[in-house]
Amino acid sequence: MKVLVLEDELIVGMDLVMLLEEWGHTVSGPHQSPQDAIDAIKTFEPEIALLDLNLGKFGNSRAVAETLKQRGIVFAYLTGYGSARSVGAGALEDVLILSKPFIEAEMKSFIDAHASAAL
Amino acid sequence: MTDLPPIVGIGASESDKEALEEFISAVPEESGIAYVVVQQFASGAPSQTGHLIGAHTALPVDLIKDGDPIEPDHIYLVPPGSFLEIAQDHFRLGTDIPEGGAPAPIERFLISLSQAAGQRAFGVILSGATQDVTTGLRAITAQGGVSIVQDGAAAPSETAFVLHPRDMPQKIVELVHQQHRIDDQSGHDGILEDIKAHLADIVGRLETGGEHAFAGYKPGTLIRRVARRMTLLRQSSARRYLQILDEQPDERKLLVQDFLIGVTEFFRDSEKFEALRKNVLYPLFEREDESFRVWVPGCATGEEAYSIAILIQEIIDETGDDRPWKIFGTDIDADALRFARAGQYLKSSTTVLGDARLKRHFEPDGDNFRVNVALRDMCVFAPHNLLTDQPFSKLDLVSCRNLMIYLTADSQALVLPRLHYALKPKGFLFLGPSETLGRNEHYFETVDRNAKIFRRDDETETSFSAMSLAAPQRKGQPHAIANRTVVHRVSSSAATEIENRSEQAFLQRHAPPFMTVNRQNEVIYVSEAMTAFVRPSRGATSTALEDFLTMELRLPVHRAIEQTRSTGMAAEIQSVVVQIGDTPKLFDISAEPFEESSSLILVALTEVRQRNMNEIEGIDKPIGSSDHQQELLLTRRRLSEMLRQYTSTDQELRGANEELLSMNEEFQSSNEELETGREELQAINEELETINAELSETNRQLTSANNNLKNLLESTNIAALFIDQNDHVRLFTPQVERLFGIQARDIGRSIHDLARKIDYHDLQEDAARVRQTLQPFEREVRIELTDETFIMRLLPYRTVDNRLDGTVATFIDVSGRKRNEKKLEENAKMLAEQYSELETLYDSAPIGLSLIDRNLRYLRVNETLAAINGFTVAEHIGKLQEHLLPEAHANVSDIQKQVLRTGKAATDMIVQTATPADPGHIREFIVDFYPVKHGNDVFALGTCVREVTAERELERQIAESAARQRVAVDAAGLGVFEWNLRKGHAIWENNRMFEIFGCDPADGPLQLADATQDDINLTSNDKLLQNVTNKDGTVNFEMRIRRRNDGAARDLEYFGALEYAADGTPDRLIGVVADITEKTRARQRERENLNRVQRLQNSLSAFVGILDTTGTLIEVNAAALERGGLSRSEVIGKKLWDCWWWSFSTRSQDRLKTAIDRAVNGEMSRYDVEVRMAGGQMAIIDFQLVPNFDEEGNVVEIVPSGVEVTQRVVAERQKDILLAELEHRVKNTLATVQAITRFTARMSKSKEDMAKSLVERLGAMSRTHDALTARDWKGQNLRALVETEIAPYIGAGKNRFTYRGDDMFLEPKTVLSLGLALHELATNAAKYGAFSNTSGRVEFTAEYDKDSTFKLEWCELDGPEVLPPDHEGFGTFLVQNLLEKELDATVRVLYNKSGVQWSIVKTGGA
Repeated sequence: MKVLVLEDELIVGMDLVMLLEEWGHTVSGPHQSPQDAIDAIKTFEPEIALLDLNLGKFGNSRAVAETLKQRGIVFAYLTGYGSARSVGAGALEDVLILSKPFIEAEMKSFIDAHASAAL
Repeated sequence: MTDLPPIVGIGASESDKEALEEFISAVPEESGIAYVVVQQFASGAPSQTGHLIGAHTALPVDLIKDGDPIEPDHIYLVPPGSFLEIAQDHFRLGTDIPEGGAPAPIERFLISLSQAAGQRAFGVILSGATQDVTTGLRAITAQGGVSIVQDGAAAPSETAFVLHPRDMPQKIVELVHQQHRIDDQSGHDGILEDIKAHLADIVGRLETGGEHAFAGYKPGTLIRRVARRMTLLRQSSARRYLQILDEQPDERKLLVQDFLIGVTEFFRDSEKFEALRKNVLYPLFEREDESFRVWVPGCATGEEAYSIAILIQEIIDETGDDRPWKIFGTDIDADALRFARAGQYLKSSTTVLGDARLKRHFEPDGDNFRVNVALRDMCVFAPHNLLTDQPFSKLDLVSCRNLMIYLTADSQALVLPRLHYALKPKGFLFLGPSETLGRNEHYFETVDRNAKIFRRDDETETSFSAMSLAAPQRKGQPHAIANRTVVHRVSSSAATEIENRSEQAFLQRHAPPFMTVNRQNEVIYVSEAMTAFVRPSRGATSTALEDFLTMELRLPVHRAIEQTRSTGMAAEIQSVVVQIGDTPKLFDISAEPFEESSSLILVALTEVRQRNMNEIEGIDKPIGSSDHQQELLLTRRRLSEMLRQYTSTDQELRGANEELLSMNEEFQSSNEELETGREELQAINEELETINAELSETNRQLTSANNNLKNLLESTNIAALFIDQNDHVRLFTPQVERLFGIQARDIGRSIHDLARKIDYHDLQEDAARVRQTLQPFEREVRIELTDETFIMRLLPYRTVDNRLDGTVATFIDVSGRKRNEKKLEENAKMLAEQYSELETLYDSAPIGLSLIDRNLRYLRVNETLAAINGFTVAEHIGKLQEHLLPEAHANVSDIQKQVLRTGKAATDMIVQTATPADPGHIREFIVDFYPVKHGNDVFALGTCVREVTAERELERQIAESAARQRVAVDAAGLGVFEWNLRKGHAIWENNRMFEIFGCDPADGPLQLADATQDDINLTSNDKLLQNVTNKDGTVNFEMRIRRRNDGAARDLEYFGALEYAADGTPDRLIGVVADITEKTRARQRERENLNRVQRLQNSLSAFVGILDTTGTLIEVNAAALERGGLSRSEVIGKKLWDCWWWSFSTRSQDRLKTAIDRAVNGEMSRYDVEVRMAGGQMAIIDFQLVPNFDEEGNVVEIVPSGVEVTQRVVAERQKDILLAELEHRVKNTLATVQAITRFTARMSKSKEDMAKSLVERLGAMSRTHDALTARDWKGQNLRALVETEIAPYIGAGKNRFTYRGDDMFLEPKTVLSLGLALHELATNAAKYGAFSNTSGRVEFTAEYDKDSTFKLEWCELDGPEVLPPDHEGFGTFLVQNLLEKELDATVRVLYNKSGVQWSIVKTGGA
């Protein structure tokens, strides 16, 4: 599976990338800015993506989410916000939200579910 | 002729505004026609008219300026005070008034228009302007134009159309189109040619009537007039027009009228008339004649005849010479003659005469003038055709002006000999300015060339014989004209032309001399060559052969002619010698007849040449006997010839003598016959004179009868109208003018064409019926306008020989009678009404009435009394009172008898009695008895009974009720009073009044002074009234007094009503007074309570108000107003949701409305809501709606209140945001911890190792957080961060760490990453590097510059020797990756011997 990771917290992003690689996936990231991620979508052509909602000084990941949606690429949000209300306007609706810090099993089942769907 | 567009001249007066509007409205936009509106003495501002017109048309409306061109599709107005004319195709304005008075402006313009535009001129006259236009319209018609008059107006006979104004423009356009079409089709000339070709037929059609002869008229004029008629009929074919002429007698009449149109006026060309006076009339007066005769042929409507008569009359006045003058005016137009005979002229046409002449010779006749008797008697008017009828004779003056211009040259040539014949020796002829004698110049000698005055030349023989007057070639002549035209056409072909010219040339140059001789042997033509042989004898000139030719030729030519005449063949005389100059020449003379039928003879000379020359020589030579012999022979021959001639002449003479003798005999017998004839004539003459005398007598009687009739008609005051079979006016009395717009000149016109003032439209039918039934017919007709009524009686008009010839309508004014009748009717009706009213009154009056005779027997009784008595009316009549009403009788009989006896009325008797109507019940009556007298005798007794039983009962009840009322008033504690406003004291009051005012009744009635009070000082009643009176006169007011006895303040309320005196001023005040002191005090307390509540409300910081149940704000506290920046008036009385606080959002308003609805139903609402405060600032309030209930549980009002919670809500929101942020940050931190834990786990060799590393790393994170928290998580400075992170690892010793270079500010994320990286560097240094011994140190260098490029360097010195590690530890990995990514920088690590060296370089870009 080709997985794209957008996460501005470098430590967290690097850990997630490393974990996904340990699970055997090919990963692009962690990208810090939406523009990097969108560029990567075009070149890397991921099959699945994990997006941090709040990108600090880079704003939010809405533009990336829309690009993915246009391309029909499955993705999930990663966020530290506890409730939908506090997610704010940056998020698209009807997208799976994975809480941060993430639970490995949850992450794995999300990815595997889509991996098997892709296959 | 001209480039002018068709021009419509519209004559209007002030009163024609509507008609003018209608006309203008109907004017099409593009017709190519120019319209000129001329107003009768336009005094009004033209701008008004201009606006008026401009409002109804799209065409430009221009005020004319002098010299303006005339444009089509324009409407022109004449500026006031100006006269408009057209000169050289341009408008010309003038203010000058021509000599001899000014024609009216309309007239003047129309005449000018007719001359300028000819048949393209249209004269339109609206009804108000028909006064002075006749001449103008006639001029238009005479020039081929069209005149149109508004319907209902009096139209002159020249009028072509009578139309409604709105139909006029359409008609004009049609006519213009017709003209155009004629022009387009074949050109105007084409149609003229067409008419010309048929002119003879057209004139012939008119001739069949046998009245007029237009044969001698100039075709040009006739053609134009025919063309005009055809245009009006919209015909373009002469053939078709001929058909119309055949079919419609009216059209024939109209055409004749058109032919006969002449423009005439008094003293036309007045200076010519002056010349006439000087050169003709004065000389005539000097003559010895006993009487004078003047003839005016073609006199038309008589103006010229009268003009001459005026001149003559003036000379008679001047000289006193009263020899009689007779002026014969003749014309072929019978209508015109009728006009002339009437001698009645329009005011406008007489203005040229001037006042003096008008006064001397005319009498006013209504609006017009009539020539006076002297003038009228001088003139005789008779129908006469100058061309065909016998001329008048023995005339002193013929004034034949502007007649010959209409005639052809041939006809003119015929006319002048006639005039010559008609005049006495030395008689005068007066012609029109453009007329000449032409080729008849020898008949007259010129007296005044300029004035065209001529005198008869008595030397010239009269060539006209009245006796030999041949029947004129009526029909032949026009045919001849036509034939000539044809001949002319043929001869104008080129070939003939050449032939003619050739022959002409030959005859002039090469032909032998020739001449033409007539029957009288007079030479009537000589050729060019022949002139050499002409040598007239001395003495009076003559063209007779004997006098005219050279001597040598006279005899031979004579002989040749004789010979030709006798034989009828050509004859020749040879060898005649003629001396030409010095040379003798020899000629042969030939004579031959012209044509067989002609008596003319052509004589030609042929020169004998060459061969005969010798003979001539020989003849001339005196030498030679043969010559002499020859001559002798010739002479002998001549002699014998002469002898022969002499003999024959002698014989002829003898014969002639005998003939003469016999003729003489004949003459003698003829003479005798003539003598006899003369005697017969004498006898006839005498007879005629007798007849004449008889006729004169008859005439006198007729005049007298006429006068009687006139006086009768005028005295009867009956309007009588005589109309003929066709309803044309024959005669009318002046009164008819009240009923119809009729004038003397309307005689002969149809009565239906005249404007009628009377409301009667069936005259035509009625007249027809009378003619049919021969029965008189009566009806009532009215003039609604003036409320006049007439009895109209229509009778058949019977001539003396009992022949029906029209209808007579008489109108008898019965307006007065009608009115009286109506009044009588009304009076009678009124009387009847009054009578029945009285009857009804008698019967139904609520008073009993009766009439009783002297025996007290009922004669009459009304229903009321009958009811009182208890019997019907019928039961009363004839009964005795004592029988019917014994009880009452006993009471009243004495009084009744007394009244009957004394004859004096007894009134107001009170009688108490029972009646049969209600037995046993005593009733009370007031009874009057009065005597009814006839003369002095009392013959009956009238009784008048009023029952007062009920009234008495009522009085009793009123007294009781008053008593009750008094008790009630006293119980209510009310003071009752009646106040005299004039004197200012009470008239009456009850005791309570004294108590209220604290006065003692013993002191007398209450005075003004007793009503002492605080707030008003009642010093007079006026002031009282001023303060208390309501509009309806009722009084209601409150006042405070100080009570008289104890000085206590008392509040009183007055109720009452004003009573007015007869003069309308208030007189008395009647009313009650209540002491309301307690009530006012309670009110005062209540007001104070309310104020307190209001103050309480206002002191609240909460917003409070009160709504009624419809949501209208009726009260609000100060806080709400102040916070909203509002005033009370802006919100009180408005729906709450419409107030400023709420009106910004419909959603919020709707929610409020719902809440109020709920409150009305008793439910309370409370919610936080945003409202608008002063300056548009928004505030959140805790809003509450509470219903207030009355005692029965109904909601009576709603209290809205609000407490501003803006601060609290904002704080809560901030808190929520903070909590969310906190959660996010904690989660992120936990995520980081999770990542670090996982990294640590991946890199650790053992559990202990992992635990230690993890704890250290978490410690580093914690420190980083501390650093961020220290600056509110806004970021941290690099130096502070570096120092914080390495502090735990520096160990003992000095200068182990040096920070060099710039400080830089880092944002929180960078701080976190860099913090972690610095921690790794520090722990590595502590484990393996500079901090692991005691001497090692670290130098940290930061270079930073503004392009956000920087260079950081971590350099370890003086530590243990460092070797590059065999595998990359987590620290290195972390530092490397973190920094590269986080700072977007290049990270390099050098393992120097002196220690490890990290350099982090960011070069910008990216």
